[in-house]
Amino acid sequence: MHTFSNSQMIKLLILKDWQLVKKSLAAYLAGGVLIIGLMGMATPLLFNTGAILMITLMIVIGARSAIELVVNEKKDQTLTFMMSLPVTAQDYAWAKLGANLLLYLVPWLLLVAGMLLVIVSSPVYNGVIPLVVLVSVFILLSYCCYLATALLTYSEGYTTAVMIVTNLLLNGFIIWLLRMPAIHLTLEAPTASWNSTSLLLLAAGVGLTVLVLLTTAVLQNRKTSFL
Amino acid sequence: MQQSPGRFYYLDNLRAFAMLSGVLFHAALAYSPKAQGFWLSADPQQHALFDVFAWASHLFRMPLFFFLAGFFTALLWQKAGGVAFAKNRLLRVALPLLLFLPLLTLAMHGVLQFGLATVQQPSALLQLIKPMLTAEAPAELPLSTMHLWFLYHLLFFYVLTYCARTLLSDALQARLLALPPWLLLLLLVLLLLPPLSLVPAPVPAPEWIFPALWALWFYGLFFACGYVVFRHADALSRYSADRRVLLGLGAISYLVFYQLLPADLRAQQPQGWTKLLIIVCEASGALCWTLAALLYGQRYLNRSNPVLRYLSGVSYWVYLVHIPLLFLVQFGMTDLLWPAGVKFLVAVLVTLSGCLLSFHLLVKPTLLGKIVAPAAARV
Repeated sequence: MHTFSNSQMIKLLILKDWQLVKKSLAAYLAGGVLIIGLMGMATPLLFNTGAILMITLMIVIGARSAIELVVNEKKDQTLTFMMSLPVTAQDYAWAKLGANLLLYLVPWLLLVAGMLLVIVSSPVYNGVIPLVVLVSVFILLSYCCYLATALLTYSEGYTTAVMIVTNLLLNGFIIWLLRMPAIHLTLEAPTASWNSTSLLLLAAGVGLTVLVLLTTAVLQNRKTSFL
Repeated sequence: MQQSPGRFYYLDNLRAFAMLSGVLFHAALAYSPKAQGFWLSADPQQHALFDVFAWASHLFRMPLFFFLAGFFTALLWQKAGGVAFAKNRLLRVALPLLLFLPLLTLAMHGVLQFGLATVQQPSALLQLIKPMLTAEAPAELPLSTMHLWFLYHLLFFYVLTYCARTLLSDALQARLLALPPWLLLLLLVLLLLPPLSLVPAPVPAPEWIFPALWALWFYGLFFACGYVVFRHADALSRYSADRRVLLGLGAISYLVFYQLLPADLRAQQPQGWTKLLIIVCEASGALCWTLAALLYGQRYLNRSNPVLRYLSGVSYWVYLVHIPLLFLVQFGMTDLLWPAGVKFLVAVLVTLSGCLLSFHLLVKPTLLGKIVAPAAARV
C-alpha cells in the first residue's frame, strides 16, 4: 500500500494542473451551458444536435486534459523540471492521476446530470435513460483507458492510438446496444427500464473503469523513476 | 475606471419597483384581451388598456432585472471575492429556488383545483387542462420553473460570468466602450435580434425546466451590460443627457411593436418583414426603456427613505410568493360582474396585502428572513 510521502506537494501539483487547464475548463463549461440551452430550445433538430455536441464535448474534454496535462508535460520539458522538485515518482504519479480524474469527473458528472435532466423534463421518452447512462459510462471508461496509457507511457503516439480506437469503439458500442432487444425494445418506454442486460452492462462498465484505474495506480506505484 | 463599492440607492429602488411591477403585470394579464388564450386566470371582463400597460412593462422589466443582476454580480464579486460570491448566491438564489419551487408547485396545484371547482366561466387554458387534472389518472403537467425561471437563469449566468472572467480580458470591454455611444446602442440592438427571432413576440417566459438558448442570449446581453456598467461607471453616464431621447425612442418602438402584435397572441405570429419589424421594435424598445429607467432612476430615485427601503426589503418575498395568491384571488372574482379595473385593483391590493402579511408573520422573524430579506431583517 502506497503512503503519500509528500501530500502537500501532491496538493500543489494538483493545483498547478488546475491552473493550467482553468481556461480550457471555463471554455468547456461555457460550451456545456450553451449546448444545454440549445437542447432547451425543444425542437427535435436542436435537441439531437445538442445531444451529439454533448457527447463530443465529453470526448474532447478527456482527450485534451490527457494530452495537455500528461503527454505535453514530457514534450515541453516540464517533466525534467518536476524531477528537480522534492517529489518522488510516486507522488508525481498520484498527483497526475488525482488531478486528471478530478478535472474530468466533475464536468463529466455535470454533463451527464444535465442530459438526464433534459430527458426527465422533456417529452423525450425516459426509456432512453439506460442507453444514455451506458454510453456515458463507456465514454468515461474510454477516458480512463487513454489516461492510463498517457500516464504509463507518456507517449503521444500510444495515447492518440488508444483515443482513436476507443472513439471507433464508441460507435460500435452504440450500434451494438441498439441491436440488443433488451435495450432497443425499452427505448420508447415512459420510464427508465433497467433490466438484467442493462444492469449487467452498467456493472461491467463501472467494474472495468475501476479495474483500469486500479491497474494504473498499481503500475504507477511500482515506478522507480519519472521516465 | 472601477467604482468603489458603496450603496447604489437608485438600483435598490429600481429593483424593488421592477419586482413590484411584476405583480401588476401578472395581475393585468387576466384582463388583457391579447392574453385571453394562454393565461390561466383570464377573466371575462377585459380592457385593451391592460394590454397597453402589460406589454409595455413586459418590454423592459425583465431586461432591467437582468441588467441589475449583472451589476450586483460585478459588485459582489469585487467586494467579496469569487468563493464568498458563490456562497452568497447559493444562499440567496439557489436555496430559495430549491425551497420554493416544490412549495409553489404544490400551491399552484391547489389553486388550480380551487379554480376548476369554483370558476363557472373558466379561461381557455383552464378549460384545456381541466380534463388532464380531473381524469382518474391525472396527466403529469410538464415540469416548470414557473416565475422562478429568473432565479434559475441567474444561476447559469453566474456560471457564464465565471467563464467570461476566466477567458476574456478587460480589453474587450474597453474596446466596446470606445465605440461612439449610439453605435454601441445600434450594435446591442442588432445583437438582440437573433434570439428574438427564435421566439414569438412578446417574449414568452422561459419557464421550462431547461434554460433556453434564446433566453441565455437575450437576457445575457442585459446581464453583461450591467456587469460592464459596474466596472465602467461612465458607460451609463454618457447617455445621461439623452435620457429623454431614449424614453421617446422606446415609446415609438413600443407603439409600432404594439400595433403589429396579433389581437390574440395565440394566433399565428406575423412572418417575414413584419416579424423583422416587430423584433427590431422589441429590441430597441427593451434597450431604450431599460436605459431610460436606469437614467431616470439615477436622477430621481438615488436616495434612501423608509418607504423605499421597506419596499426594497420585501420585494424578493413578494416576487417569490405572489403568483399562487394572485391566481387564488382572481379565480375567486372571475364570475363576478365587476368592471375589469375594479377586479384588477382588488387583485393587486389583496395579493400585496397577503404577501406583506406573510412576510411579517413567516419571514421577518424567522431564518427565512436572513435568506430572502437580509436588509429588511436588519431594518
